[in-house]
Amino acid sequence: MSGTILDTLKVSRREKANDAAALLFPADSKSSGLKRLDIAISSPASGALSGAPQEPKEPAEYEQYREASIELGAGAEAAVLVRFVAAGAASQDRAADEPARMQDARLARAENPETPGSLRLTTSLHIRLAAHARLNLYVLSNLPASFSREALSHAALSEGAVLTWTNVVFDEGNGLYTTRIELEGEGSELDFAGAYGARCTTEGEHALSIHHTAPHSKSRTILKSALKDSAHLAFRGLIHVENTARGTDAYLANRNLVLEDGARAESFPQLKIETDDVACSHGATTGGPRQEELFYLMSRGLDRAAAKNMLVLGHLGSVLNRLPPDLAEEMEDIAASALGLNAQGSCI
Amino acid sequence: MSTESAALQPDTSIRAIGEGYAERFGFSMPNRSIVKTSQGLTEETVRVISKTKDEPEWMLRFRLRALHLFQTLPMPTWGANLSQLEFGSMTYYSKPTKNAEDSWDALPADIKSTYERLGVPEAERKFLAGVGAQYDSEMVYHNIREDLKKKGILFSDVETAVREHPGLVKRFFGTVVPPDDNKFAALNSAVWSGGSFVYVPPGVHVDIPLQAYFRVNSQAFGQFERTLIIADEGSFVHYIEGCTAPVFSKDSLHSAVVEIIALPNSRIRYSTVQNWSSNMYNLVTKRAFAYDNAIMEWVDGNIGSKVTMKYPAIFLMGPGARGEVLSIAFAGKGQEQDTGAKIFHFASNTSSVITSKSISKDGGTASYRGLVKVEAGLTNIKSKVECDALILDPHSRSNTYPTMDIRSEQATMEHEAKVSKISEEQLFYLMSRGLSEEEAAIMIVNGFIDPLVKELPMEYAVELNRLIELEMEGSVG
Repeated sequence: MSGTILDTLKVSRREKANDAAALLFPADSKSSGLKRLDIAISSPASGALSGAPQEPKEPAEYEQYREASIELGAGAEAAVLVRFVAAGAASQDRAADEPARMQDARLARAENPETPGSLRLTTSLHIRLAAHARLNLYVLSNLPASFSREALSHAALSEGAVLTWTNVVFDEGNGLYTTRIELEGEGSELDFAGAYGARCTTEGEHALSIHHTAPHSKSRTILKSALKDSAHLAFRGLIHVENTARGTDAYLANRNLVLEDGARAESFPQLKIETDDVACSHGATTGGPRQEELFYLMSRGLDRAAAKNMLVLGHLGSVLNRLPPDLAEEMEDIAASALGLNAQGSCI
Repeated sequence: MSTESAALQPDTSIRAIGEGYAERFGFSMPNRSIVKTSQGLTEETVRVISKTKDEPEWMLRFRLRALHLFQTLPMPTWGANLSQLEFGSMTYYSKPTKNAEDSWDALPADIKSTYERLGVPEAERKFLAGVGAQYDSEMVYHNIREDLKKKGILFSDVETAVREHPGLVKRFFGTVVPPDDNKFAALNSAVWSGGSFVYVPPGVHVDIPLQAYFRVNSQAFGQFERTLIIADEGSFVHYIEGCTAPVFSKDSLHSAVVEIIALPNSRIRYSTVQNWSSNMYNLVTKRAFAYDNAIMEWVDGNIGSKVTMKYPAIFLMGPGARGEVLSIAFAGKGQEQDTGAKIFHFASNTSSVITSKSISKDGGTASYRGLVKVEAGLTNIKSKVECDALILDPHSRSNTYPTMDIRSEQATMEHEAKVSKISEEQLFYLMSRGLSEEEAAIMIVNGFIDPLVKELPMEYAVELNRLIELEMEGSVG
């Protein structure tokens, strides 16, 4: 499994796109404030596709590749916001009718997920933290339904490094999100929280693997999801503790909210533990909104739909609230429209 | 399982039995089988088995179709390493006696003495309602208390049931685990022999357990018992199985199929204390259908074998049905215990609980592999899965591979797993109270498996505790 992901990354590097973004924080630098890294994704509406690096062949003419890397030198501290932005495609008023083109894309995708009707996008994000570096990372993505996406993320943590990562995904197209985090330095720490929301026929697969190879490293990983209509999430989470990683403390959690019959959450949390001196655990819960909570909110005057929506935002809130306040608010709005909580966006 | 348990006489317990398995269970008797197929598996083998059993035509056809499936189905691509399993050098059928007896004295001396050493007749006298004993391929002994017989309870080997109750057998046989379910179910369906048939009439409660004891005596042998348990409406039965085998250098295979039907409002509990020798591949398919308001419980203890792959399954077919699986696995030197449970919710108002405990030591690998699935459109579903693993040394491994597939809004599914070693604090506390490190460790391990052990009848609980002590011998310090 590990081999596959790394191989993909290597191949991806070879086909490197024009606009690879890189952020480098020198050793012992203390960057104040939030550093923004916007990754622009072209869309046909903006006419930018012609500039795509790949040769014009089926279906490659629709493929885009974006790469970003963040590197912190020893002892550096930084906060970074990485945002995937579709240029010109997504209208600001997301509750408005979808452009006909996107409807076409959805229809086409329902028949064949790799049909040229949807734009294929591969993004790759590399993070490297040298000894005792500290990074607070926010990665946000809400691409329109016309994109089907493969997202690769890879982070490596040296001795004493601390990575706090908040990952919010409301992509409307299908996505395969593969994240591999290596705690390869003694005493390194990871705190990862992900939120994912999907509706209609969107399929999302989140593969999160946390590898402990050094002693006394610690990881906390959680993915929360909300699924509507016939959205389908497959969560694959792995904690792998190698024989060299004595004293590992690891926890992996997956919390799925299935909002309608027909929406589907599959959860495969795995533990592979190869030494004894560990405290490793995982938890997975899947369920609908709690009847008692719905009842309580409705008794306070909310109708059923509004009560349900409030529970959805509450469910994702523990992840969204890790964002800086203005971003948290924005992402809540995006969550509401991505999940069709406000206007009743119908699925095509 | 022996009831003259050494745990009842602490002076002889831990150290005296030290080397353990070989003396208590690992002995073998000379092979005096009266019918034995040659090595390997062909259509001829299947025909010989069927002819020896004087079976009806439909059963032979069932076997031959299954043989074809076995030859075409792939080996599992996941789980334990089965590459050393040699289907070609195994003996698939060995008939030890002419008939199944209902008196121990009627058995040949070798066989009788085997079961006496294992303590089975004594257990029957003390706390069992009925006993079946399988020796290699055939049930050599089957007996049930007269009063239970009068209530209409059927307890026999499956061959007898095929002869005497063809209607019941035909209606249920192969319906819960069809031959094409997996390669090993197909293998069993082709060459099955022995196993228990239990039928409990409506409303009848069998208050004390029925037991089957499976013993393999031959070398490089395959045991393929087939068990079918039917609890009619409103009835209850507790069925226990135990198993051991001699220690040989060549690997043997135990590949059972267990089919259970819990009709509305019935309850079935099926307990296993698996203690095969370390040259045994234990690849078993166990599945139960639980209809309206029925309760199905698997209590599954896996201590022995070289490789075990076993995932007792419950299909909750009717509203109000409930399924519970309690499982413990102990993986020692050279052992791989790949165990777990599967629950399928097919009806509303159903609930399930899986509790799994595993211990790995001396380089052993214990894996939990499980599945909980909830279909769309069902309401009021609850499921809870809990897996705890203890790793006792740095060379052992523990894996957890649960799968949850939920398509219903009105379902609640919880899963939790944790892996750890024996806590230093607990050890320190017990040692401060005067226990040696080893005693303290054994006490902690026994506490760890307690939720399962207390679900077993007392005699089995004692036996299981003692087996764990045996396996723990010299593991700390």
